[in-house]
Amino acid sequence: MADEIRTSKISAIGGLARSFNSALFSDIYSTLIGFLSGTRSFYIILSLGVLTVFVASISGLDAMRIGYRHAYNITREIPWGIIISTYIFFVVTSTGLCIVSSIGHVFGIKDFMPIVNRAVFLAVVTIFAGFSVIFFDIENPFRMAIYNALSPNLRSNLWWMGTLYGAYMFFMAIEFILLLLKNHRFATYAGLAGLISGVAAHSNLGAIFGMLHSREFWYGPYMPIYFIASAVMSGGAAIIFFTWIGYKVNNEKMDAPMERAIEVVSKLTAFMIAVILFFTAWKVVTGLVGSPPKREVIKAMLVGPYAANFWGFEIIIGMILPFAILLGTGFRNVNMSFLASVLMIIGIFFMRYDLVVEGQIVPVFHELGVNEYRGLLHYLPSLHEIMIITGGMGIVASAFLIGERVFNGHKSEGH
Amino acid sequence: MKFIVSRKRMSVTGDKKVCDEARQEDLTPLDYRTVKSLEEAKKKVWYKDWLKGGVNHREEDGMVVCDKKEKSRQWVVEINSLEELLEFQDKYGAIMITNSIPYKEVKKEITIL
Repeated sequence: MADEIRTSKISAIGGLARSFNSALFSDIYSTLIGFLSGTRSFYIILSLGVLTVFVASISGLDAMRIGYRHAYNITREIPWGIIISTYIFFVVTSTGLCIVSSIGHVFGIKDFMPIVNRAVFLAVVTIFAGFSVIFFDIENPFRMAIYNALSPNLRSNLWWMGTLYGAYMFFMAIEFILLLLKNHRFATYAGLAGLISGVAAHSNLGAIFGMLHSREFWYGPYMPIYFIASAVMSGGAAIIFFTWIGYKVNNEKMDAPMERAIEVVSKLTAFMIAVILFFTAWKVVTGLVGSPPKREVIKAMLVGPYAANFWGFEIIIGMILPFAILLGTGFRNVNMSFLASVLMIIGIFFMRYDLVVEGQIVPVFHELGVNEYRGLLHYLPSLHEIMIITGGMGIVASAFLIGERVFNGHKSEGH
Repeated sequence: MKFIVSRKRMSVTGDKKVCDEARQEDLTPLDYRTVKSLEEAKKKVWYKDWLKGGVNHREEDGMVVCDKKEKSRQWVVEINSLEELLEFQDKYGAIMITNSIPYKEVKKEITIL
């Protein structure tokens, strides 16, 4: 009886997903395909991507000229804004792509092999986009690079972040080059080195938040673990998203091994959504019985100014809907997996934004009852900030399109 | 009938022989593109590479397809009867038969689980 109810519920979700597919998205689908695969339109999209990067660069340089404190809406109380959260969005995606690709290329699981080349390429592209975005948040990025080597502070998480991500980017680039050269033995070693440095870098990024005593919302061992788990979810969504578009750009017929790869990545992604939902639920529950500043953040997230972001984007668009779509279609409908990945990417972007900004909205002196800081602090990104993060997205879009052309659809060995 | 043969967990550092019966063969990958005619294909951004990378360009099953010039070396077994297939399964345990990446010479793949 219970099985029958469960089966009927799943088929109902599947039916809903299919009707959603046929009714609402058929027009958008055909328009998108026509636009992506035509010669002229391909170059129009590419030009738009490059133009975005150009405009963003002008914006960033202008912000440098007039001073970040005038160009950005960050303050002494909220020093990390949308540029930092977008940097995290990109590096989380990059680490996730590295982890997902390593299941095939490092650990030898055959079903994951078809996605390897594209995932490694995108891992390099997204980490580069992340670095490009944070470049415009650091007052003197060149001095940072020089003194990283000349005067290392081994007790600083930020030093480790720069160093480990630098190593990660290097290994991933080497892995990609070796994959192109079909030197799989050394590509695997480079992939393993990339995986180790990536996981170390990324958990360390979580520790940057988790080791800040003064920010109750972030403090604790939760962050490094959460960052790795959510990286896998992001990586899964990204590889489904870009593989689907890649096949449309090249008008290729998706063969059985690639369909199987999308299926197993969809399953992994759905599993990670469940894990993150579980993490989020306990973050809320423990936060509600936590210290007063943490409770204030949780309340702002649940019923306050960030409730729309949390419930609308993070929970419903980012997790519940994609999970229902993936489960309802049995992970076998590539188009619906793509739709789920689009929703996830939107939701995950807001997840990163909320994580960074919400951690700072309660004033540090909140508990002392200082009159000037009785309420929550506010932050809204400025035009300069928005332009810079749009440039990061332009970098990914342009590099992806160029990669599809130059590397001819990222065919893996035996694929 | 020829089958590509592989294992669920692959050797990523070397090209180990998959099973006793397997031998390596150079196969011709088929490059399918989801446009209806060669005329339509000419307007696409990938057309020149596709034309240059293959031979025998044709329309087939509502798509265009060509035989790629660059061969792909794969492990292949020849199984010609149900008895041989069962014997193979007895010897290696659980196996899975799926559609392979499309090649001119082979269309199916046996994965030893």
